[in-house]
Amino acid sequence: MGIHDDFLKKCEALIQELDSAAGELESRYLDCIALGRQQEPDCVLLSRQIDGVKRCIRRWQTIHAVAMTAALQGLKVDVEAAAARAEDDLRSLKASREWAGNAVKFLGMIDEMIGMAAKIVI
Amino acid sequence: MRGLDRKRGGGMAFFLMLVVSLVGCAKVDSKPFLDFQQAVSAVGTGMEDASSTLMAKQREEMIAACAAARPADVKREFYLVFGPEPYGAKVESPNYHAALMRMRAEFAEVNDALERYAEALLRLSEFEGMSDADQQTVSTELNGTLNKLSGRLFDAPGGGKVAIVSTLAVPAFNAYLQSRQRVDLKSAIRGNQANVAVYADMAVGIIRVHLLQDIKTRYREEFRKIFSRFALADSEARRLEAERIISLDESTLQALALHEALERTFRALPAAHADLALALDGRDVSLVGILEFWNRVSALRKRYEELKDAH
Repeated sequence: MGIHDDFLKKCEALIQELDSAAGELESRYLDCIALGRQQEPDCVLLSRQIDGVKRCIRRWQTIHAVAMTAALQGLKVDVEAAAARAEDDLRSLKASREWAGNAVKFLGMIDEMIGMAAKIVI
Repeated sequence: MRGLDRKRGGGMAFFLMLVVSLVGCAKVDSKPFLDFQQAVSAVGTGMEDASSTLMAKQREEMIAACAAARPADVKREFYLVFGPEPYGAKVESPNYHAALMRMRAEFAEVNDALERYAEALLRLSEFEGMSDADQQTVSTELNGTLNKLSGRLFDAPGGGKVAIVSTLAVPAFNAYLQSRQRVDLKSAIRGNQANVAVYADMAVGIIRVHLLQDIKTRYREEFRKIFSRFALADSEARRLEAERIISLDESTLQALALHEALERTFRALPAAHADLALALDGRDVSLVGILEFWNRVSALRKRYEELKDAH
């Protein structure tokens, strides 16, 4: 598999993982709504975590679109800066307590992808 | 002597009949090529429709995101810096809407190359039945088209660049136009097989990461809004919210089915393309790949109709 293709596939896998996390967190937040606990600290934190994960998904969708555009043009592309920004988003999520474990898993994947992105930069 | 002439005449007539029947059999059956060309065109339209819906929703979301962002982020994500190419323009950090717009334009271009390739294959399948003059015209025209298509490159797995019509396949196509030996046409089609598979794989990636993901994200956002109202509503207002929940579930399930049909159609594309080489062997060959591709396109059209009827 080529670097570009491999990178796109890893983007897809990461977004899928993030989406599963978003679904799980959203389900828990709906429980907060059902019990009228939206203003409780754990539910407020949950809501912030969901926003953070959504932001991560959007960032990685953007990176995927940029890398796919370059692949469709047969060009190399600079996704390193965008990948580093996405990493920052995830690090701030890591600071949220319950999410630390998940964030560590995703950061591991992103570390690998940043290394890969460096190879496909012009 | 007359008897001998009659015998010779009868032999000649039999020989001519044999030649005519052989030539008749030798003509390529264009039907699989026509099916392929029409299915390729339909799947291209399906992708275009799906992505234009996504773009319209994205634009609204992007306006909201821009309005809520810090000024420094707005500059970073939306301020266009022109150059260094005369028509080049890019932002410091791409926003999703702009990235989607560019990706969609590039995909449409490669998709257009595939459609023109499918049309060229259809013309090639009709080539043997044409008059010499028509063959000359078509030959010149196809030569130009195929050469042009081989210049529209994209990335290949394993590194390097490929085009829907590979540069290696172009001489094989030209050889067929000269020699009319089907082995050349077969070899040209097979030479493009891997590239068609790469294209289909890219399409599936776009569907999964952008179109499908958008359905899921929007569903969760919309459900939360309705559910929050539902939790606080009295029994009369609950009925209205319940209707909204059910409508949202229905439309989301329909959208999932539509996009699944679109993905399956793209997944069926490489096998259908591979069947075109088999189609050159004659009418008795079973072209399961083309049939499957055609069935997928029919299912896709049905999903679109259902969705149109629902809204």
